[in-house]
Amino acid sequence: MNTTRRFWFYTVTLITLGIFITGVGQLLALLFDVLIKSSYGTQIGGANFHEQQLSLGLAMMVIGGPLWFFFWQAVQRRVKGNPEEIGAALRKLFLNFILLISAITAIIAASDFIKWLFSGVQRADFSPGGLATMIVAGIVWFYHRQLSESEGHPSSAARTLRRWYVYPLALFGLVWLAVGLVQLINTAFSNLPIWGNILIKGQFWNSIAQSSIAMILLGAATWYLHWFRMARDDFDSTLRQVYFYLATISGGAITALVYAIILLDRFFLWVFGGTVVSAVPRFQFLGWAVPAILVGIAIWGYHLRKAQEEAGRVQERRQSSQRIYYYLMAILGLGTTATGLSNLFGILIDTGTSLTVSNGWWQNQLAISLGLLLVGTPLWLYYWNGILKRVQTGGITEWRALSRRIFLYVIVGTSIILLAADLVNIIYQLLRRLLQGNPDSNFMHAAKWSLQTLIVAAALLWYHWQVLRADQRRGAETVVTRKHVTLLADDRTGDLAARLENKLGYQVRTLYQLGQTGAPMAGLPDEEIDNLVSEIQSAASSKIMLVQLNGKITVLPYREK
Amino acid sequence: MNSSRRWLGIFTAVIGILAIVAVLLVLFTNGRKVTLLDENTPQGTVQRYLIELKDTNYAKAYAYLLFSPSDKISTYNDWLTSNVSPYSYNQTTWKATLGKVTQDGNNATVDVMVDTFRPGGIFSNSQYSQQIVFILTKTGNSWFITSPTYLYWMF
Repeated sequence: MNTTRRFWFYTVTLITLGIFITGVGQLLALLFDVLIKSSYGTQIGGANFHEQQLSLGLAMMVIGGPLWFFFWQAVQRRVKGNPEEIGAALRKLFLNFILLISAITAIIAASDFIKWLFSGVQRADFSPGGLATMIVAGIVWFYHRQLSESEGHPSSAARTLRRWYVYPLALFGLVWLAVGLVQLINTAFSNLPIWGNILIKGQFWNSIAQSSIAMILLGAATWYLHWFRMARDDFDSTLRQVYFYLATISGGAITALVYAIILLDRFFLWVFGGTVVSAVPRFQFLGWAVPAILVGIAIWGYHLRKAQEEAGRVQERRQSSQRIYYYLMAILGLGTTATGLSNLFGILIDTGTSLTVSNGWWQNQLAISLGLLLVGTPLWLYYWNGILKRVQTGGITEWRALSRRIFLYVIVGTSIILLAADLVNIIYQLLRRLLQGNPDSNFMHAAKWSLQTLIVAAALLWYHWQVLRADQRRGAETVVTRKHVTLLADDRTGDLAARLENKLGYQVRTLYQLGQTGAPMAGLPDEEIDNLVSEIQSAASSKIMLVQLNGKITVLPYREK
Repeated sequence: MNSSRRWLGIFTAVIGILAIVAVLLVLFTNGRKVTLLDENTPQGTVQRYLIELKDTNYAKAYAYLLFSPSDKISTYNDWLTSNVSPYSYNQTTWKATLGKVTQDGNNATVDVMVDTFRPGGIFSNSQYSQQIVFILTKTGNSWFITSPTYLYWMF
């Protein structure tokens, strides 16, 4: 099939499937409504309603069903025994799109159904449409999953599109599991008979507890199936690295850190005798803060360990997600530390100028400052140190990396804007007082925020400006004439391509020669890599083919006809 | 026969049975009359009020309502003109399922789940569910609905 024909077939099949399953869903909802929910003794207008539902359901099923069957069979006939059709990107997009949508729909509907079961199977609360949706979406998912897994994923596009279903679903399951756990523990904690001054209290077994358990069960099942079964052994995948570093590790870390700051803030506030204006008991926040920290650490720790275990099997070029994660965590740590420091300077300025501040103000400021510093500083030190080590060993690729450039320019830019705004305010306050002949009137108070941020911004600017200039001196921002370099070699580990990329500063396309063993090529000495790079750079053509033959790499400049 | 074809066959058979059962259920349960509850109970009053609305007997439905002076409705015509539009009354199909009844002396509440059927295209949700709490008060031997006295929920 050509692409247009394929696109037409799959689009029409998808639309007719939508009509068909909506019709089936209507009939199933009708069935459940009559058999489970309806009691003609207490229901008014049921007959009319069901006639309408039956008419619409039958019409959609009778028209959509045969049409879907006809188009689907036509597609299947063309696919049968044809690996090119089986691995076609459009087919895999169709299958994985249906899998993703039907799985999420079925999980959401299932959570409502489980909640209804837990709440005591009250007929009045039963949702016939919800149960029908769960069953129909579940069947659609099951059928397409059987088909997708049985025919395999013979092309690179097929494997990539499968990943776009597997990893989002694994993340969805993990988030549901985590949120369900935190919600359940919090509900249990807030229902403990230890909180005084409670006028009225609900029961533990309420709709939040029921929906939390439903989320835990469904989230755990979804995560297990997609992460431990479907994503198992899928090491050579960029999306897996994105899942690790940008979703689960960063997500878990940010969750744990945010709640740790809140926990420390409330702890120091208690130590310093500050006040929290809230109707709930003082320590009831532990019910959500502690489980959120523990769940965040568990997600962070597990995925970080797993990513480190797999690091040896991952191609070097797929590690850009790891680099982004390091810079992301470093900027988070730095931002948190800078905010904590700035607040701390604020307290010192207040103390130094003996200004009258509202009662309990400094306790609140000190508590939040210490919380921010205790979380942010170790985080920044750890990740910035990791970045320095990467830069030492990574060479030009690390200096040139987009994430590093963005990190440095964001910090330098933000510091300059902050400094400018602070200086404008300080000079304005000073000049105004001088011109009005009243230089002492409350200057420190008016310029306090500017002074405290100015000190931090100046330090940040000075340090990161040095780093930026050092990178520029190393050639991190010099314009490189990029060439289209293709490597035809038995380089399955990606080591050779990664070493060339490090020296060249841009990507090298890799092709594998058919019929080779897949055994790693013996490591080339650094001098030979340098020679290859200099040959590539001095070649007259912008297109270069590197061919590995008998353990030797030949540089072949070429041009297209 | 491969696995996916076998499943397709099973699903087709199940869907065929589903369609037949659905048709039979609607045909055989259609003629059943609603069992009337005791009129002198809160649920019986709400049931009769809803039946009259279903049958568009608005004058009879109005007799089950009790208005407070703040409602500014003193006659049947006031209520009818403020609730029933000649263009909208027959455009939706709805069913109501009586739920929990709570009685406290001369006051009561009756939970009613109203499902409205509004087909709007092949990919839109054709059903809309809402829970309405009817508040009733007892005057003499009869119960009267004091809220909601408007009918917007059924359109």
